[in-house]
Amino acid sequence: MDIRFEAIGKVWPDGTRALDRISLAVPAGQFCVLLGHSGAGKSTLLRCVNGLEVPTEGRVLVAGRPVDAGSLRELRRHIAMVHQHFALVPRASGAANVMSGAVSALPLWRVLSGLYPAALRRKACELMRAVGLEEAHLARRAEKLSGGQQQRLGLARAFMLDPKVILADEPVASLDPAISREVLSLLRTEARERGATVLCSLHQIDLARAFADRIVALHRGKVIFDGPPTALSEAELSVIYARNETVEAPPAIPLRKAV
Amino acid sequence: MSHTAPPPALDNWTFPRAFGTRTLLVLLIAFAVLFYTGQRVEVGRMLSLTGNSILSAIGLSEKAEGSGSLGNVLGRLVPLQISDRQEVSRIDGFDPADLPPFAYLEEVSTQEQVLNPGSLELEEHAVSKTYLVQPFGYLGHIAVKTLETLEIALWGTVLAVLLGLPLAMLGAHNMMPLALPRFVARSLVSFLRAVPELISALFLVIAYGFGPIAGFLALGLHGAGVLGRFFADEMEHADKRPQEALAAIGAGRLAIWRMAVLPQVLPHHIGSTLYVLDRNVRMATVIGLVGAGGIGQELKGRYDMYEYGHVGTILLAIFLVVLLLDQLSGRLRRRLL
Repeated sequence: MDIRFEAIGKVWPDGTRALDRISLAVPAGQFCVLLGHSGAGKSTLLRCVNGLEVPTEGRVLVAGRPVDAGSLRELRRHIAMVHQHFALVPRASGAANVMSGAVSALPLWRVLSGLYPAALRRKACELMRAVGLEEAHLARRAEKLSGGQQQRLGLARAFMLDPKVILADEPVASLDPAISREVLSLLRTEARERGATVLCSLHQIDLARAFADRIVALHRGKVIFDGPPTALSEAELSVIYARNETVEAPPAIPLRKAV
Repeated sequence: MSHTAPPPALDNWTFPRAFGTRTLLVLLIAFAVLFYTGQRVEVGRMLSLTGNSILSAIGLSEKAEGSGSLGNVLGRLVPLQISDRQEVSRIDGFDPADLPPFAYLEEVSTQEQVLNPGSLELEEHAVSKTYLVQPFGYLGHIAVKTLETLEIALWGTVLAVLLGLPLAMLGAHNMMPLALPRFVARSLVSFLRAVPELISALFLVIAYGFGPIAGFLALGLHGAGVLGRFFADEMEHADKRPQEALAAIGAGRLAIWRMAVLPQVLPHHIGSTLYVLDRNVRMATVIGLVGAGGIGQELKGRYDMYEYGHVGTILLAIFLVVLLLDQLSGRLRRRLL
């Protein structure tokens, strides 16, 4: 499924502009990384795709369907999400956390009773193994796992229903560099196998360069770079990572459309 | 050589005082309120009566006035009633060959004056009565009544959970997005909590008659008010992130509750339920006073018949049960949280 942002903008109630009329098309199957420092609008952009935020202007289309109250229920079944702080249920077991990824495909009585169909139980186990977890982690509470293991669990949960779109909101922000690479490569492999589109926000440039098919850099709610990782120059990086937030995005560097 | 400049004078510095005028004013008002209300609840008389009975108890003053003093009241509770004594002729189908354990028969002969209808004269007759004495009979009776009280408390708690949980789900912000049902549920919960068990038991006794039904219904309704509030607060304080994660992939409210909220709040729910159970055991004895079954009903009956020895035994039994339950629920709570 492809994602199209059509001039979407988001203004918070306090007047802060998070997104400034961004237009962007992410073709199906692409691993697109959103770069930018905190507050650049990466998360907001991602959350507009599955309706966790509603843009104040413009619209988002997923597979050609505009994201709105009417289409969300159906669209959300195909859009998985990986979270910065994992967003697992800490006291629930690894198995229950992974299974919760299939919640929209389960009838309510199965959800309430916890009696899941054998096919899904098997799938949960397969995914746990695929992301590098062991049988012992099934029964263990999520809070007892390490950060890396928790995010692996988050990945397994995301892939339960073979999503067509995966939104990853800083999935490795709280992990160390080596684990970060493992998690991202898992994310890319599993997504490739399913032909899923990945929209992943990051703030580590080296990781973005290593994993992205395409990098979109945001600064103060605007796209300031859009192209393949190889086209990203040091000068642009210095802008993306301008620590001083009062600095205006310098007009000296125009929006470049590489490719 | 350099000479340091003298530090600037501290003329404009003032060290804050511990008590400002406002604090003193508040204290003054509080004193005035306590003085006024203290007279109305007769704190002074209470102190003098208590002091008197303490002094008389240690022999420093004459016998305390009247029979209403604290020492006299406590004194009447002993000796505690342990045995049970019943006239054999009043027991249906009594079989002297088959006595309960530890029981024995006691013959008591008394002289009774009986009017002879023929001579119209009072004549002395020797009357002999047989009593069945069970040395621990009353303890057994109390044990049965205590068990009934515990059962009432248990069912009151079950009812409280069954009613309180749905009400809490309707009243919690993260479970019910619509304001009107939330308001209705919250109001109902507040109402249930506002009606004391004793009062609702009075009405329920009229509706369902004397006995345990009125008891556990009264406890359940009040408990639902307490749990409806506690459960709702606990649900609202659950971590929002997993809930959002499930909402993001299209889960409905009930599914979010089951998968993301319940695992987080279950230990707190159990803790609150144990608190209500604990409270229900204490309240079950009180509502027995209005005829809602259990040991309270026994207590009220014995008290009205001035059988203070029995009352003492009952009070001791209640104390032991509450103490035990307190220990038990405390241990359970520590293991869960």
